[in-house]
Amino acid sequence: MLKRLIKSVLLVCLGCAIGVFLCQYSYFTLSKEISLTEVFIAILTGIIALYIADDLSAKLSRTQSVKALYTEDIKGFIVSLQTLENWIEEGECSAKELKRYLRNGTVKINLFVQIYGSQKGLNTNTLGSILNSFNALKYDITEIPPSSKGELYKFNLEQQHQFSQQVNGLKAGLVDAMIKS
Amino acid sequence: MATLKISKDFTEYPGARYITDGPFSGEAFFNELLREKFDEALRANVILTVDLDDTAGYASSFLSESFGRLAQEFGVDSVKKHLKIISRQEPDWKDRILNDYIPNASKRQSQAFVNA
Repeated sequence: MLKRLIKSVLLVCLGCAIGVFLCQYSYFTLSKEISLTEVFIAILTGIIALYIADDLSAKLSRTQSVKALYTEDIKGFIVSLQTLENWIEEGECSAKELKRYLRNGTVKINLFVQIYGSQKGLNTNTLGSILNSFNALKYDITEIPPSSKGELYKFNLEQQHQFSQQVNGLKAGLVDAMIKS
Repeated sequence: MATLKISKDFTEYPGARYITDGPFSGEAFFNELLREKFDEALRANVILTVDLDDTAGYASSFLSESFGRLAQEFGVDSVKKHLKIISRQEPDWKDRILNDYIPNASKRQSQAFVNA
């Protein structure tokens, strides 16, 4: 509060000092008359300047909010990939759960494309390749013949390695999407 | 136009490729429902609409087996002419069926034969 007061007083003093300084030079004259047109133009210019500044600030703030939401959603998706990684690492998982998980993953990425794809000032170009990578993993992993009367998917070492690589590629793509957004 | 909604007319939990893989397989879907419905649509000269939505998710083996067999039995051109796929929740399945499983049905079958 005190700082603000001191700052205001200093500003007024500075303004007075500049005024006195300018009046001491002969080539600066102060007219006692004020042109109404000039006053009107000055006020109008001020209003337009304020409007532009305010509009730019609102747009910037909105873009930042959308970008923050987008980043949060992508982060959430990266975290959710841990479930898939655990299944791959364990070497088996429930067939129903895996298919539901993969279905939800595709639905979620499609939703990201729909929601964020049309946002101005947000780069979502990489979402298309992320969706393709996720779907490729979905096709590969559910191509395996299930065990236990269709209840389980079991992965051998080669498949574990292949699917882990695909999940890592997906993660890298998602991080890249956050950076490039 | 004839309609076949998998979640309602077959199961909410589609299985894998063959009947030996477990319940609600692609093979069972083709034998019990898809072949008959498509044949009816063909005879009536109407389009059969297969709706993939509202299930708990698909295995690629289920879809490649059922639609691949359909293309093998009725021919790729006939299937493309009389089949419409609806897949709003996972649109990629529609592309996959129409651009891979149906056109490459014969290749898939020979590959499966070699693997067997």
